[in-house]
Amino acid sequence: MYRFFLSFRFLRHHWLMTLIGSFFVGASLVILVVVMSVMDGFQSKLKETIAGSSADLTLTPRWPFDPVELSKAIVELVPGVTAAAPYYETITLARRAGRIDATREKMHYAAVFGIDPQREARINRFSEYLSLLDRRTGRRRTPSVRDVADPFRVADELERATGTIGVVLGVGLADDVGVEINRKIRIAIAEPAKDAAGGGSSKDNDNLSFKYLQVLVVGLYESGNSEVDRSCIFMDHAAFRGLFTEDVARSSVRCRLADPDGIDRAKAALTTVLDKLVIRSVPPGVVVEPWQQQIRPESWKDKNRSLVQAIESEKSMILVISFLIVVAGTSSIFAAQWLLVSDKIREIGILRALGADFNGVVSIFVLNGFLMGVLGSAGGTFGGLLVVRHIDVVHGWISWMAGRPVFDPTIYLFDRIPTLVDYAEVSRYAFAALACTLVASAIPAMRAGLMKPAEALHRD
Amino acid sequence: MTEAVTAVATRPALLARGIHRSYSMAHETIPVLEGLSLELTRGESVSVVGASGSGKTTMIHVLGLLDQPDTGSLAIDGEDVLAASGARRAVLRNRHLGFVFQFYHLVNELTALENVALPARIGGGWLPSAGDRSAWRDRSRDLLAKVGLSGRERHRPNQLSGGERQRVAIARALMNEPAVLFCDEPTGNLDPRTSRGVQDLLFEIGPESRAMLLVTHDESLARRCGRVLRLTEGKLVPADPETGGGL
Repeated sequence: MYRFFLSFRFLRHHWLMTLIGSFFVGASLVILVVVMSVMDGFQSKLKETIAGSSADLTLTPRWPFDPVELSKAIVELVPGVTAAAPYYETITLARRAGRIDATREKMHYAAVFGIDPQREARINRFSEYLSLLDRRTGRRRTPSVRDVADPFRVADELERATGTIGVVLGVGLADDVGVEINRKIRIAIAEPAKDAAGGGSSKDNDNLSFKYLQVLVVGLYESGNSEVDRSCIFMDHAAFRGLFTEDVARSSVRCRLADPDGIDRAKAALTTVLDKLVIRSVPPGVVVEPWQQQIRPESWKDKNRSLVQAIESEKSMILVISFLIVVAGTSSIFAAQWLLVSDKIREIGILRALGADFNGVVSIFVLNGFLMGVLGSAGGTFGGLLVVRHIDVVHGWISWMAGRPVFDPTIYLFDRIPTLVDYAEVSRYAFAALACTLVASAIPAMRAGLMKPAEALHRD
Repeated sequence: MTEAVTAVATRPALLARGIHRSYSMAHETIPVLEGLSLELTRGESVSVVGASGSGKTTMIHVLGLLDQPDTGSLAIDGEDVLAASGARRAVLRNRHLGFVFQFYHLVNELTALENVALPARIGGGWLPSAGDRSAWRDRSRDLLAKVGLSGRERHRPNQLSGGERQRVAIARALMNEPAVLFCDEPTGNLDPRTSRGVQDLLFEIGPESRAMLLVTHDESLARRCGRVLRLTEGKLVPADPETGGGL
């Protein structure tokens, strides 16, 4: 009991030392909480951007299948899948239609995606990304297409009557190609080469021929992921099937999961209903060989493995650095405790003379440091959460002091600094800081406990 | 029951035999106590005089369990303490020994009342009952009243004069009703008038039912004790061999 009593008294009496010791622990914890919350926020936003233009799970069967039928079957049969959409993809070369200066304007690589806009809207943020980002504010503007529900519709009746296909272009690709909405582009369409007689397709699949087709840009797409935005062309899946043969395109089904992290569960569930999926999706009259009854599941993480790993390793590095700051912060408690013990040598002698044993003296100073740590950790956690909550105000101050915006929305394309507070993680930081303060105060406390009472009593 | 009380009363409060204590300094060993022996019984007051550096303070530290002798035997209230663990020695200091130092040695962060109650708190374990705490408070108040410091309970050491601080230290030393009260130059830091007041107080309440061992340079103070010993060549000898004790 006297241990708590004296610890509190020393804390109160040496309030400035207590304040300084606690302040540095608190400040370091503020840094840790803010940095990790902003890091998590950025990560989450980045993942959202990547996953927003992709899907939780992409399934590519080896058997001949109808993607629309397979989409319906997957939603019905695979637990945890809330929506599924057909998905076709191929590569092409694109350039502006009309006369061009070939010395300056090049063909641009592009990926063409055939999607069902209604179903696509249920599996990712396709509809949202049809509204472009305002570079100044980072917010999204009004949609670039006339009708988000039917984004590929060609408004001009004459064009529609002549069968012109409407496409949505990635905003970066539109810039590269040099087109705007309601302008046409040419895309290269690969198809199996005709046989020598000019009749049917050649049986030799290695030979492809190309033709150019003019399509009308009816909208722009901006996910914020520049890799996607600089290479994507979206068109309706029916139009896609009409242009690209199975030889040159890949078809899959993309799914949204009830739990985005439940990818493994969904993969496992797939194998149990594989037979039914084959039966439901195989076109009439097609025989599926046993070796074809396979499906390749790929999560958005699998598709962006290197980026996800880079983000994770970056987070780990920042965590280590930030934690080192906390360790440095807790060294203030070590210093404060060391000074306190040096200042209290006579008192230590008195306490020993009055009957305090080694454990008693050690406990007083460990408790003292621990209480400082509790103050610092509580203050730091609260302060960190407060800063995260008002991060934009804090950012405004810092930008004002720096004389320039520290966080430029035109670069990051977020309208505000993204933050994500993981309270369990924050609690772990606080407890880790407390553990550090315990270690930091234990060393000076041991020094106090090991003092010989007779010497301590007569120390000047 | 009567026999037990008699046994406690006749048992030496402190019994030291052949105590040796030396200090190693660089390549040299300096002997300080060389076969010191002493027996103290309750109700007895003994003063020890000696030249500066003769080892008086070392003697108090060794007999007061603040330092370990090299050899010898030492019993407090009949318990052999030299083989005791550090924790046991701490308990013995708390329950059986009281100290009054020259420089008061009060804890500045505590009030007079809290300083007096400190030995009881230390002996009270982790979670003393409310009754215990109340009893400590009452006893601390009584002791402060006894040393003439009623109304000064909430004063901190820096708000008290030297004489008052020493009175608080005396009250603190008596808090756990020790068997032996060690006083190391208790008036050495006080002016003559204040010193007389503290001396009177010490002899009024000091050896009531305990042994008092007083180390001093002040001959008038030493003479007030029942026995006066001199520490010379590491041993205690009667200060006046003819009287067997008195100066």
